[in-house]
Amino acid sequence: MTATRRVNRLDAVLTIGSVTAWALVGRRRSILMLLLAGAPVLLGLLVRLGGTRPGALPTALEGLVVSAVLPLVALVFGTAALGSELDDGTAVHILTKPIPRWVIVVPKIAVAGGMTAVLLFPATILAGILIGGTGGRELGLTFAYAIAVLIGSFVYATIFVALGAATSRGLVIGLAYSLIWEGLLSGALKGTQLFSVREYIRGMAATLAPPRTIVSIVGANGFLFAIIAIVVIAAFASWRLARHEIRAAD
Amino acid sequence: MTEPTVDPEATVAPEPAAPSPQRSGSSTFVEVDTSQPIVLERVSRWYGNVVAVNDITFALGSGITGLLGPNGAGKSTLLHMLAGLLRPSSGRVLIAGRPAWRDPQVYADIGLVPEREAVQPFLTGRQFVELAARLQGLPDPAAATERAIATVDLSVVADRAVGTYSKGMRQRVKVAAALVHEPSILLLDEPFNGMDPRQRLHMMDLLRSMAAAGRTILFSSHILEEVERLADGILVIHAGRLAAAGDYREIRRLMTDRPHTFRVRSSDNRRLASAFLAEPTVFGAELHDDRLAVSVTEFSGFTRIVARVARDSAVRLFEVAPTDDSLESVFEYLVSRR
Amino acid sequence: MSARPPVSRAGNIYDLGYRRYEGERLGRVSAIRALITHSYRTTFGLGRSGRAKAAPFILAAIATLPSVIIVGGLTVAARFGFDRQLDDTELVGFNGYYSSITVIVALFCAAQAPELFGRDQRHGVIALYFARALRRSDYALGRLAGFVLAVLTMLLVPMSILFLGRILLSTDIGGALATNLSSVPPIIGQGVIIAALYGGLAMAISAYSPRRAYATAGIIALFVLPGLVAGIVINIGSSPVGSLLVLISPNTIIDGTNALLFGRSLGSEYFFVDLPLWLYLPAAIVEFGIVVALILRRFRRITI
Repeated sequence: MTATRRVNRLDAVLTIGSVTAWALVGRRRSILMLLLAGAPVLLGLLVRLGGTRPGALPTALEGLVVSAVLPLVALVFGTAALGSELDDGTAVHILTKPIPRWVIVVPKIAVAGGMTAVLLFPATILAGILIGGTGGRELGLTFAYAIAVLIGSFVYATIFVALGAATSRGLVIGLAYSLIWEGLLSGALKGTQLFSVREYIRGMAATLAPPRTIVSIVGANGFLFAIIAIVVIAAFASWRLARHEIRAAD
Repeated sequence: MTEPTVDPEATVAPEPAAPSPQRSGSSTFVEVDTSQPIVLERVSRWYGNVVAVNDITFALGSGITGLLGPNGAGKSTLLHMLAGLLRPSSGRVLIAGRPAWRDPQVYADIGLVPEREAVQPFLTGRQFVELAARLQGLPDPAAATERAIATVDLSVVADRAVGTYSKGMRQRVKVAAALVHEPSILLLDEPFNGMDPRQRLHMMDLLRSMAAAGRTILFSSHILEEVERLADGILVIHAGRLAAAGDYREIRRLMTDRPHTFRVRSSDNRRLASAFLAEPTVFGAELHDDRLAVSVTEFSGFTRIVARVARDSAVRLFEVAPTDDSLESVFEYLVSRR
Repeated sequence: MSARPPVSRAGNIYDLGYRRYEGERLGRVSAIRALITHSYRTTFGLGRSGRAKAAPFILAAIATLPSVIIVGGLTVAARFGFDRQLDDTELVGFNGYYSSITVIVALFCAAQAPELFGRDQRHGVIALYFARALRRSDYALGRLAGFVLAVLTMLLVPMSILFLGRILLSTDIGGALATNLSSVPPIIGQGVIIAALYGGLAMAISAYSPRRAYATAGIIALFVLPGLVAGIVINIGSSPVGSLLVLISPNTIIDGTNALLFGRSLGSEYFFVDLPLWLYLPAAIVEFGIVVALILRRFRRITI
């Protein structure tokens, strides 16, 4: 009946990626995300004006950027990349194409994570320089965190894209994960830190930073866990998307 | 005397796989020909306690079929299941012999024009169609895009953002995206919504030419005129059940528990009326102005006797035509039986 | 035909078509009351599908669960004869409980506030509301009141459980009642402040962003970020700016009023011990006032 056509996977990934990127760079959303990412920089400026206490850099960067701004920005981009399209139905046009579901999921994760990283990598560096100065040790810390944040962006983006594929209440669940799981419980129950992205980021930063500046349980395994998390969760997202049922009824 | 016309079977009509309208329900399972492009076998879909589609079985071949039903009857649900977007709660949905659910490869053969789903508003028409072309793996997406856009007559506005389109234009750009890979099966959900008459005619011509080329086209509508004009065969769905399938004129013949009415003009209506009333197949005759409305129990029975009765009464016939042989009356009958 | 027909001889055809409603019409006050009730119910997902109830009920349950566990644990302890210790020990103080469930309340507000203002705007239903006896300000304040009441309920239920547990489990009920009665005003006061501040802020943000994702993210950002920034700023040494941020950030304000109302002082884990406690109450009131003004402004200016 029809010639058996095999879609070029790479071309499809790039196409979907560019459409997603275009969709994510909405004017209002960009301004808001710039503001959010600007918070650490603003903090740095404030600190510059007020004077710095030594040893404050890790707490500052970790407390603000890693724990708060990073998950939020990744949340907004991640849910916008897939979840909101599934909810308002525009995803139908992409779903009804002869491409495996991972070809849809992977570029969306890449774009959401990429945009988060593009905003937060420079923000972390700027804030770190403003707060900690350009001494060798501080600079090392700053860049360590920046790189860890870069990788962490993709992990968070993967989680939130997967949540968007799995459920229409992915937003609240993502927030609950970030605030409750990583915030409250991680502090209380040490074991859960194995499943906390925040902890992976700290581990990666600890590995890259000058020795003994950051304390971490996970250590260099942070890299491994981050990559495993990305792969496993992306696979889950693809599996879930294959079983996605359109959300409107007659 | 005008004979009731017999439909020339130009294209293959859908098989009336559902039982005839007299018997309610699909309690007897009819074997369907699974070699047809579209096959539904005892397909049901429920949401908790609400049954949206109830035990539907049919098979469709090439040609245009209209899926007709009131709002809320389950048309969109059925189309979504055919397009692999919904899992049937029970039964099988087969496209080109393969289950539609969870098989992305069926989309190489299907074009879907959804009714409700929006298009990303920031894309231009051309970008939207080209996106579809590329994701279908076409060797020359740009050329296919141009062809598709020209087919739906959107070349002038193709470079404007879809967010600025009118409803009819949005429908057409969705049709272009569905056609760009020249699928053998086309599913359209209320495709003429928001189109002006000229666009509607244009679209109908397009669909007819595609059906003539051997494609299987299924479109849903709740507007009888569209279906009557365009479809070779119909599927009537009501409250989730398949009420009837096939050529609507044939269905009309099958509706024997409903009287047929004929309009008769003659040289002496009154004499003819009393002569008709003597016949066993006629059970009503009404005089209106210059015509006679005759109610009969059986269509072909009346056609056999009308000439004889007229001759025996020495009345000259000017016109004999069935009056309710329309889709509207068929539809009305089918949906009011519940 | 000799009997009189039951109805009069002159025939009548009764027009059973469109009938106007000529009965009593309740006024604006009833409309406001209905709106508040509806907002309250919508916040908990009552009257909607099961999925709509999931998030609020789960969060409310998480907020209430610890109190149930505590009281349950105390009951069990009482059975085993540890009564005497109970009078002296406060396993969890009321103020401690409040500060623990702050995060849950924040999540609840972030999840449910967009339902109230966001859905009406997204589906264009606002026009219907304004075409009634309600004024624009009535609509805005009515929705806000319903939401704040719902959050207040979520806060006071576990508190009541704790309170009753403490009273009923002690050996001397009358005495316990006398001692603990003084805690009632702070409990209610702090509950009102949290509900008004968190609820109000969440509603203000969702009034301005009908799209749920942005509203939720914005609410969480507003609850979480200023406090963090303030903490870091102070930690690093910039006190004036830090103090200002502390008085603006919602979660630090309620920590302050928590201490103020319960008559404690802020423990050392709080970084803003330098500010006098009484400042927090006016800060809360002022911020709530600003929030209400913002919401009113939004709906006065919105075009439908």
